[in-house]
Amino acid sequence: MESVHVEQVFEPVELSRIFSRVADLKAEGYRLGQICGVVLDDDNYEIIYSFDKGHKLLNLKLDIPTDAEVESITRIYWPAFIYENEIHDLFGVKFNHSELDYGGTFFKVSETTPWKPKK
Amino acid sequence: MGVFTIGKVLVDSLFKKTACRMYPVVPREWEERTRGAVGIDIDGCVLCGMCQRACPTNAITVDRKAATWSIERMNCIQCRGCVDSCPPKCLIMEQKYTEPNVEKVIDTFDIPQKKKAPKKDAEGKAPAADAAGGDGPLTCDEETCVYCGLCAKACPADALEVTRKPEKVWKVDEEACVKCGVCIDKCPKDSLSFGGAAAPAEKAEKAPAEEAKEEAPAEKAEAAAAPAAEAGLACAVDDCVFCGACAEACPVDAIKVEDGSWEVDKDTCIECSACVDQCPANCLTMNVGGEGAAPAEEAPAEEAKDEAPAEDKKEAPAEAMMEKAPRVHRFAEMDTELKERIDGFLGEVKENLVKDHGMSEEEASKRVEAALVASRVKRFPYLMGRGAKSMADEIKD
Amino acid sequence: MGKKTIIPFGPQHPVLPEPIHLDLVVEDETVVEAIPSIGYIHRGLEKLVEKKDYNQMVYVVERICGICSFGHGWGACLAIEGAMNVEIPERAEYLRTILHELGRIHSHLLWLGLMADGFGFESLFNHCWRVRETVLDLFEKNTGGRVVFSICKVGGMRQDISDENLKEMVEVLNGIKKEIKSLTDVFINDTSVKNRMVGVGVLTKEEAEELCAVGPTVRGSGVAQDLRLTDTHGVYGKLGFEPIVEEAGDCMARTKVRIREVFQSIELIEKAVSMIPEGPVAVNVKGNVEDGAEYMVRLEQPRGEAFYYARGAGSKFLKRMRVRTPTNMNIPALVKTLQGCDLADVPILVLTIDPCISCTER
Repeated sequence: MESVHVEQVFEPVELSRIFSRVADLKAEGYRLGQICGVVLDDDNYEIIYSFDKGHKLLNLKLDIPTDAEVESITRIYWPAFIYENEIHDLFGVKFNHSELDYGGTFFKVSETTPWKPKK
Repeated sequence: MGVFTIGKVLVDSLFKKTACRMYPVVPREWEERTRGAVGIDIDGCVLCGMCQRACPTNAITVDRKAATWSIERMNCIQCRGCVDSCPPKCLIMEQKYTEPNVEKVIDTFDIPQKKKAPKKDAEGKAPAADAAGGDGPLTCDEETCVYCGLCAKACPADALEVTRKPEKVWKVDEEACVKCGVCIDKCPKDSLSFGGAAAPAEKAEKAPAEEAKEEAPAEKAEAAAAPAAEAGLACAVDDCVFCGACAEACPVDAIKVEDGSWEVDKDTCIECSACVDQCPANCLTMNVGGEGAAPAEEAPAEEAKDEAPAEDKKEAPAEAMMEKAPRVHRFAEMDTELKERIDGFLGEVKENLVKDHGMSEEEASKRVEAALVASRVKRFPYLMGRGAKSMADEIKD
Repeated sequence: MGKKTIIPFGPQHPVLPEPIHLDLVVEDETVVEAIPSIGYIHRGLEKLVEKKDYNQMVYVVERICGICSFGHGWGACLAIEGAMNVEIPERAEYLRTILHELGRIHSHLLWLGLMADGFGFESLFNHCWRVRETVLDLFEKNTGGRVVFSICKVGGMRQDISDENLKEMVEVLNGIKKEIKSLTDVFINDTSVKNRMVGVGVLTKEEAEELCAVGPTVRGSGVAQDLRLTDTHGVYGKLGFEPIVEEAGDCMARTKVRIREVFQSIELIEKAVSMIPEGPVAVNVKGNVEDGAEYMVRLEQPRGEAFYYARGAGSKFLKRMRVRTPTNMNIPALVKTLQGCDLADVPILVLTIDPCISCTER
């Protein structure tokens, strides 16, 4: 079979539009890859959503302040609960309307939100 | 039959010998590459601390003042990072693992302080070794420096910046410099030292063999023949396989190889060391002013040293310039901008050959081409297959 | 309507291979619901990015897991090389592919042994691991370590593997092919094994796609998803690779996928060794990753698709190194298959997604 060429695609997305954008992707047939949190600086995080269709990769970048609340995408992609709970436990980002919320006990860490920048 | 399909395997295993090793009665056999524990050749250590920087678990501690090298055996993860990053290659990976123990084991080695007499007498060791007090920052004697860039390439901490065009620059980043002295060892002109004031004094202290090299610009013909039988190209005839690879590589056809005999015409030889690198039996050495043998890996250092006495060869400065050019041109194969610059430089060399030495145009171009072909040393992996960006970074230094 | 009991399963359990905790809601021996809980082995390895420079980070990422170790080392190097825009020589790509496929063989043999142990067939378990020892000896001879190899670095490979060693590797693998075949025949043909695996834990194609499962878990349900079809890593395009797919969707199908992958890997290694070019195995990489340079790459690990993301900070430290391992994505599939199964089948189902919880939790 021919090798599929994969490009690096990073698309910025607004906080208010994340849910509808992900719903569009689901309708187009994309599969959820992963959700990753990055600490940009003391006040900002970046969350990267990765989607895959036919082995081609699409990444969405969401820049948010550290105390923002993000709409959960577990209603569209149920397996996202793993990543959202992990980001909640490590970074302290709140996800609203999650279908499976562990309430901070998913990762058993001795110090809550260890990745959150200390002021 | 579906019920006991594993029957055959079980019956066979009754009659085969056991797959287990009867340890500890039968000792374990280690493979050559097994990463067991780190060992050190204390004579080679220069206390530069590169191993300490490379170690991911901070298991190695190098104390320059006390001249000790110590490793916490239980922290070591046997990754070989230190072995790979050691500039004088004095660390080795031994195959046997550290024995289990109820206490943490820390092995400390005392590194002997010694001045390397035959080599440049610079502060290659810890500051404690230098009684003359040359504990200053690394300095370059700009009068003798030829801006060949060998020090920058050898520097394990990337602290040196050397450029020849558009202008001659030699710069050291004193914060990055770890004072390991590898650059001082590699410099073919002995221009480097710790604390510049000591430099002239050091030159006076050098061994007589070195002095022959110092006087080379003044005494051209003599230096070529001076330490008589040793200078120039020599072949260890016992090891030689008479394959003729050296003769093929020679750009000036100075070597003649026939059944059972090897001969070099020292007058024709321009000491570019292209033959040394091509020799499959490693039996060729290029001796310049009393330096030691040249295994293939040290060929660049050897060739750099050759560049200095190259000035005193028959074909004078133009040829000498040509020997310096091929090295830079090797890198330029990958970078077209640099290639244009070097092509300009080679054009100058050709002009020189035609004007000052009365060579015909075709003869001059032939010579330049031959030198370039001969200098394409095949054994340096880092020259081939490089991405353009990393090559450009290397040239910047 | 039976009585509902909640049985905590794990993280310590004689039959469970990995430290995962499941709260099983059980009604008369049938599992109605399962709630997973992980975090017992979280070491915070990704946070070490603040203290270890990018070369040392490769060692850290390699040690996330002992079974998938080569894949992690390769992925970390790929991500950093991509962020720094470094091209590595072709021989290094071939060597990495060969060692990765060797890693796949050893991982699947390990899994076959654990699967046999899962339903109590201990002699088969030990025979599978005995054959796996030959592969581990090959690793030690070529790279220096049986489990963690430390042979990938940013820019290529740290040591070259000679052509004689590669030919010997192919000979040894061909030598154990017959033994592997006789062992895997037991998995496929033995009646008691079939009773435990056929029809158990069925995951239909739609469910597998909905739950975004990866690896042999989803290939056993009829979805041809295999990242070796992309060109981001290795030289699979030149080796003519086709993914292995089974349709049934139960435990036996997933076992068959893994068994066939072992034989396919032996063929891929043989082909790669015959095609490997001469040349250097590393380029010298100097400098740091630029601030803001990022790279997202995916690899096909033995367990499925793994993500590696590196982001530079302008200094010798990285800003972020993210590893998303395949088991992380298969846990929802596990939860779904557990609904409606017998209590005695729980370890089989947990094993069938090939869990590697130390990868999941880093």
